[in-house]
Amino acid sequence: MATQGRGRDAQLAFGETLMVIMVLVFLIGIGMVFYYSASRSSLNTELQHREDVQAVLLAQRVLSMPEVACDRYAGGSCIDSLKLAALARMLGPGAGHDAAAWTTYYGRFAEAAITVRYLTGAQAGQRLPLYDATPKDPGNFTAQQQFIFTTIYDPVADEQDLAYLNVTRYARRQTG
Amino acid sequence: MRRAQAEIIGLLLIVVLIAIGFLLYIRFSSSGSGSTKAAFEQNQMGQTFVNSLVLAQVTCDGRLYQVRDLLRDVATGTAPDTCGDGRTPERLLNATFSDVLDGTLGAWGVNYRFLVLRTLPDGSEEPLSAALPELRNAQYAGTGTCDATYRPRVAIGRTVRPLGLAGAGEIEVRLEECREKT
Repeated sequence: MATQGRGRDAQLAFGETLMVIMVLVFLIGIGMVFYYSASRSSLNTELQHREDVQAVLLAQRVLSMPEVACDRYAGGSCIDSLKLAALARMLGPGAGHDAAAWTTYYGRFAEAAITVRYLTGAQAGQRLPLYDATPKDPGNFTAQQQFIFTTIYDPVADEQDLAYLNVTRYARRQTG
Repeated sequence: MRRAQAEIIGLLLIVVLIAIGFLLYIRFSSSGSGSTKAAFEQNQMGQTFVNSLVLAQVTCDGRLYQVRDLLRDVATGTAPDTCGDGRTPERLLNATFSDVLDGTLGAWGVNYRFLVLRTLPDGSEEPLSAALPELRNAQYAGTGTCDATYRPRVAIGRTVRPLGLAGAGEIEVRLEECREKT
């Protein structure tokens, strides 16, 4: 009888230990799932922020390019309208297209679209597409759009107009 | 004795679990990169807007003026009476600011307030001219503007471009962008 009682006590103690271990494993499992999902969401947000900042940096890079910057100091960011038009012709699909220049700028800007829109002056409201490498499969990309204001100086007419750069940067969608 | 040990181990486990939870909370709540990025973008747009706007030119009375020069002339009373089209320089500037803001920040859904103020040598501020009223995004009429009642609930990005007036204070071209705190 006494041996039977001790055996039952041992079984109970074993069952209790087993239950405690199961509960612990369950809690650790929940913790791991929570940690994994939280870190995944945090990583995605971080990636999104990085892409957005990259779009801002791309817009700034365009503004600081000597190929389009004004020769004279204008007191702020300034684009030379003649240089801008020449670059737009080289990178555009029309007659002045320069394939070598396109390849060079694709190396700098990658998948992106850059458009200049005049806000004041004689050309107010006009849009000038500068660079367009919109992906052919946009579903596989995320797009970040940024607007940066600048002035456009026409050295012939000696006029300075307000404009903005519309920069859309495409980043390949993260899989998994 | 054994029971006491088991209870101590149980307590330790609870403490460890609470510490892990607290660390996870700290880890994911202190990143803050979203607000940094929003502030960065906000500053970029506001600063480039105000800095470029004052450099742009408008035609008044057959002459090209940079916005900053015409504002200075308005402040010092040396601007032409009219700009040739029947509008005063203040009305011309107001129409220019309004058109530009409507076509950009307003169209992009940015909740803004744009003001041109005169800062007097004693530090006080007043509107530069009654004909240059503050401009706001018309889409945000009501509670969504940078007014005193809304201010506590929004993050305001303020960009100021001071234009000095010789011995008479300065002009402040100010753009405030109000965004919901995230």
